[in-house]
Amino acid sequence: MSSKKYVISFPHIGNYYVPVYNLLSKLIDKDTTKILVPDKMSKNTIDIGSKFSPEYICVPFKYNMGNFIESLNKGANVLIQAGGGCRYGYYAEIQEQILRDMGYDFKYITLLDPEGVNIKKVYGRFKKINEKLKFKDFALHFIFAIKAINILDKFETYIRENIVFEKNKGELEKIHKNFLEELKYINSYKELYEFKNKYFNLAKNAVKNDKSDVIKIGIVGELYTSMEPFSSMFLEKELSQMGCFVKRYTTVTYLLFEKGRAQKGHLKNAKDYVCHSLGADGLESVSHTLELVNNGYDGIIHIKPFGCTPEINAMPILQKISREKNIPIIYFTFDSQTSEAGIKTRLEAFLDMMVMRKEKIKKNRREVYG
Amino acid sequence: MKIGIPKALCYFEYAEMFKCFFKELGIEVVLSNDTDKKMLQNGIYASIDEECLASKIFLGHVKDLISRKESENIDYIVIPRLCTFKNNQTMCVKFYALYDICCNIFDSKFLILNVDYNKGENELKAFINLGKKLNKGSYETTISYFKAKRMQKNYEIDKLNNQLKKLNESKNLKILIVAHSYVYNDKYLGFTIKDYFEKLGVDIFYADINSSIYKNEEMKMRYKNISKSIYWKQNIKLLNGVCEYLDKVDGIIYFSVFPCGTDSLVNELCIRKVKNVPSMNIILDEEDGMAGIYTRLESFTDILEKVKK
Repeated sequence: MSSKKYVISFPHIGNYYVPVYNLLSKLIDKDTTKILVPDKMSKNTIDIGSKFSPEYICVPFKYNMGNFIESLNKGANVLIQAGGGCRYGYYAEIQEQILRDMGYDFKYITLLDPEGVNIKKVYGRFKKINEKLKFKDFALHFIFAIKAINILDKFETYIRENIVFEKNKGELEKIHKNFLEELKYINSYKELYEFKNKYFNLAKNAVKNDKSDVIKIGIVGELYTSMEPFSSMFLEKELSQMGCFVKRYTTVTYLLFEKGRAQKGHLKNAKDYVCHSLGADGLESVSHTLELVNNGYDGIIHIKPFGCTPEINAMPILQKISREKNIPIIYFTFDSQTSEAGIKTRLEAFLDMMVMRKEKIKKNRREVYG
Repeated sequence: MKIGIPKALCYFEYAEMFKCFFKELGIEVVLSNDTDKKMLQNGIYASIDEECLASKIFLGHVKDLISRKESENIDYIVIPRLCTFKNNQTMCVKFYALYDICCNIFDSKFLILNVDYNKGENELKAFINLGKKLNKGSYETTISYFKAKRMQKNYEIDKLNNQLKKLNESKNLKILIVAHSYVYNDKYLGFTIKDYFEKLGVDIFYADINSSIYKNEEMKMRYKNISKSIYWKQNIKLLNGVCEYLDKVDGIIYFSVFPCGTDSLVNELCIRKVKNVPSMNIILDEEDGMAGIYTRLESFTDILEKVKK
């Protein structure tokens, strides 16, 4: 246990703990406060999380709880929760109540209100921890963090889409690891841009120029399972190891800044199937699926946690698209007890099907054109 | 002209209103039959296996109307799409998509009643738009809307007065049922339980029917005692009811259907916060063996009786 007055912790989602760590390290008063990055996701996280969660709540709640309990046991006493739409916005209150009932004592900070981000309110909440914090500094650091997240998203998208084409196996992964390690301690915009150029060049050099024919797969679905690899049993990694090109839309940058503007476009894009929002990311799933179909992807994977209503809303519509546009879509539901072997078997069978389908299409084309 | 309304989900919130509104416009209304086993099976067949039981039943009702379309000359089926309301209140996201889901899985003519305050579609506008699609002028529909609204209000006040009267006179064991209107009003889900309690000689009251229908800020804001950040309209109403009846009942039963998104969180919080009244959480699923539930209800009443003595 540390002797500091405040120990801040937050739940994991993908690799976003890095920019969050970067931001928090600037917002806090170093004399009184310490940041505790929660333990890496493990079987224990989800076991302990689901033990103390309501029975049929969606799985992100359970992971968050697991992260919080592990951090609290290590001495954390300030917890940060993001919040958002659908059920996310209401997580905070329940989690706080459950943790208090368990006998923990802590402060609780939520970033997003159901209505959206209110930077003044968030500032007020941070002010309680660090009284010296000025609004100007807070806003500047916040904007810097957004830029860092943006770069992280761009870099990870690049890695995801090019890891199949890397020259030596494992090289991009190594670069990615160094990237995350370095991003934690970057302080100025100049450093940030130099850092960005350096790593993009490194990554580009590690990738083959010849981008030959591979199976192209798009991933659509709920945000948490999309962004947190542990909760989707490392689905993306598995796919790239099987030699697939993977495309995914959902990132934090997309959710915070592009989603609102894109809504109208999505409605227009999906107008043959949907005329209204389906709640949370349901409409986006439909629209992105159509986009992937038009771009000639070989197959689509739809992922969601158990009981995710918006994505269940999108499913009958996706099934119709699958029938009408003749595109294979596989649906994965993740819960606290999903076994990796089951997912892998289904994934392999799905891939085999797509390879056969692709060959058949090629053969047909050859016959047509002689 | 004839329109069909599925008797499930949001129907129960607007029951009297629909009846009166369409009567005023001179449109005949056909309701779907009461839920039975076959209808549930049809609904399950039409829906994704992870959907909540209430929405499976809803699809069963829509299917029932579609099967009667030819024989009874039903022109349209009305599907309400309730999203956002005043004061940042919203419905469960299931309601957002009902219309689009029905359009995609069934081959029939549907009409939408789209209430979405955040997008500028208030209730009146929604009804006017619905009227336009039925070839009725906006003046005519506006008048019918206000008449219907008044009818609905009177009906709700009657229901509330009856319940309060029963509560004051009752000498039996009193149990508060915290359940959505589409759960306790459904013949298949709620009525079996209601009948069973009648047999046991227990008086039941519904949290859904409470004084928050009046224009009274204090009564509308009671839910804040339990939850501060809640934004689901129906659950707010239920929490208001819990706060109102809390001191007057012997026990609380939380009824929800599997896997209800909003109840999974709100009921958990409610159970944790309301501690001085014995409570029980019952989750209904599509397996229809009622023996297990009856046993739990009976033992719960036995315990309450002992506590009372």
